[in-house]
Amino acid sequence: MLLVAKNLCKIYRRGGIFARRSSITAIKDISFSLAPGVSLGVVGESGSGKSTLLRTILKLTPYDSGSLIFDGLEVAAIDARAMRNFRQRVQPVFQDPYSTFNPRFSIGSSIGLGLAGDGVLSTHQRRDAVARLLDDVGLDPDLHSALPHELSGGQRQRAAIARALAVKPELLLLDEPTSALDVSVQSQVLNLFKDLQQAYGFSIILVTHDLPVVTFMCENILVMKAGVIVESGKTADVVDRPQTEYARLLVAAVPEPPA
Amino acid sequence: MTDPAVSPNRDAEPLLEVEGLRIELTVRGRGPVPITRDVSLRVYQKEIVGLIGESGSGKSVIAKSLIGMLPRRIRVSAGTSRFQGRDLFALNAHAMRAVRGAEISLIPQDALHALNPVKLVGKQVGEPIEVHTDTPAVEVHKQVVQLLNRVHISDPEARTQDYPHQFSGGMQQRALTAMALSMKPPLILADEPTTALDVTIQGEILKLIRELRSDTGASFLFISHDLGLVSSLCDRIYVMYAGEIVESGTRDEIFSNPRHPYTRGLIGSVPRLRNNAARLLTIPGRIPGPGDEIEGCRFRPRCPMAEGRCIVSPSLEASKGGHAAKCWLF
Repeated sequence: MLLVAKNLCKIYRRGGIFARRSSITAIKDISFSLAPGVSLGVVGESGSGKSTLLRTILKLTPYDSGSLIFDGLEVAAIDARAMRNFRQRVQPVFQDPYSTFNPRFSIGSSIGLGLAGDGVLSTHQRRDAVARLLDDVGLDPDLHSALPHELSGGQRQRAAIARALAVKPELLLLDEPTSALDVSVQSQVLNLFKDLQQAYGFSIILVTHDLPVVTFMCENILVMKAGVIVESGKTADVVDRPQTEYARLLVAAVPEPPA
Repeated sequence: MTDPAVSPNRDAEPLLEVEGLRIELTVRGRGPVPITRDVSLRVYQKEIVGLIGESGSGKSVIAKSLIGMLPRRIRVSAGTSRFQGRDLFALNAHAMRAVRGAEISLIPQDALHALNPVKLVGKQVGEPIEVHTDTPAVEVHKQVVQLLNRVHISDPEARTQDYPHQFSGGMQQRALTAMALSMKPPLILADEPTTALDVTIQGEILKLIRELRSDTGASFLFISHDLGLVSSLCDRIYVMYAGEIVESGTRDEIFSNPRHPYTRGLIGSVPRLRNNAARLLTIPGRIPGPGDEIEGCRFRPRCPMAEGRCIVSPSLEASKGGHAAKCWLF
């Protein structure tokens, strides 16, 4: 298994000196496992804890109890030295990549930054590697010198994917990666994820509120509500035979064109 | 859907009839740029009509033009809009104020930003009544409570004393819907009213719209980019591409028998809950900008079925059932 979570909990505490102490359990008793090359979808509504779960896996937020093992490594125990390696192996792609690109860096240099981790690339080699990545995600290599604001939403999302792939990650964390895109662009990006997964062999955790996107992309699914997993399993089984009231509600709420 | 109490009456005069609408954007040093070209559409009584298109297709600007809320530098340069015996585009600002909110209202997309953060929700919901009538304050308050109750806000009496930030996203959207309903307008324009909401809350808003149609007989022009949503809600649908209507028909015609290659591409590119193919259909290329002049059919450069005659722009030709597609192939 590439990633194994066992009874993962995260509690946000606030208050203290003046305000009354209070705490919010963001995720509770989260357990799942993810094999290499497999896609896992996480669905739930706002406040279900799906974003906290992502942040925990990215080691942006520490967890309070339970364990999270990435390729044999307890994520909480990763120290500053091992962090660089961990950051290369787990890469996020967010809903709005605009805010994660430095507006003054060209697309090419933002993507090339990841490659710098290898340390031995010449300028020329790096340029070639970036051109290959741009080509892989279906972008014109001429966009190398473009600035983020010059790209359309779909192009920017492709650039974000290229940047994530630059370090050859084993796990890609996708947070609503197509929610800001038009449907015809969304389909291009979703197809691209599938193609790239075949070519690169990474695992995917896809967090979204859009159930059909999960059924298209992911073999397995977690349904979250109020911080806990209410249902999990093969995506097709959960969609066809939801066991809990909440999963039934989610499936029924999906508006679908007549077949 | 065949319940006569809720089914639209398409034999009578249309409630709204837009003909040949051209909206232009004035760009300094460049002259007017068309945002919509020759748009014609109808909304009949008790009908929920969908207007679907991707961003930049010109769908929202059509709604704004109907209630005289086009931003500066954007204007209607041709066309008429017949609504209850008048041309909406010929009304002056004063006459339009009497229509807006009273006879045609708008449910906007972003509920939080549409509400005034420093004004009580109850006051805001009652504003159209205060502006359009001389109803005494006590009576306005009573009606506001009824309206909030109508959109299923629990404990409406107390909730009138809340500020917008004390409402959840779904409740804010309901409050705006209540405001749009306050004058019982025959036509309500809904501009992506559920995009920011969770799916289960989205479902409740859709249920509410259906309920309102059958209870009050109101018609809706529902603007959205979400095909699933439009297909589950609307009786009839217009598909927009790059400022033009490229196909129109009943919900079943559009989804079971799409004719225009763009509509087909759009439907095929949406993932389904079940039985997805290994890959989604894609439409190559990008939607042209408003100023981009394309010879012939505007979809031609991206169309998988384009042929020689497409260099001449086809017209929106309707078959006898009313299903129309702006394409030579049909």
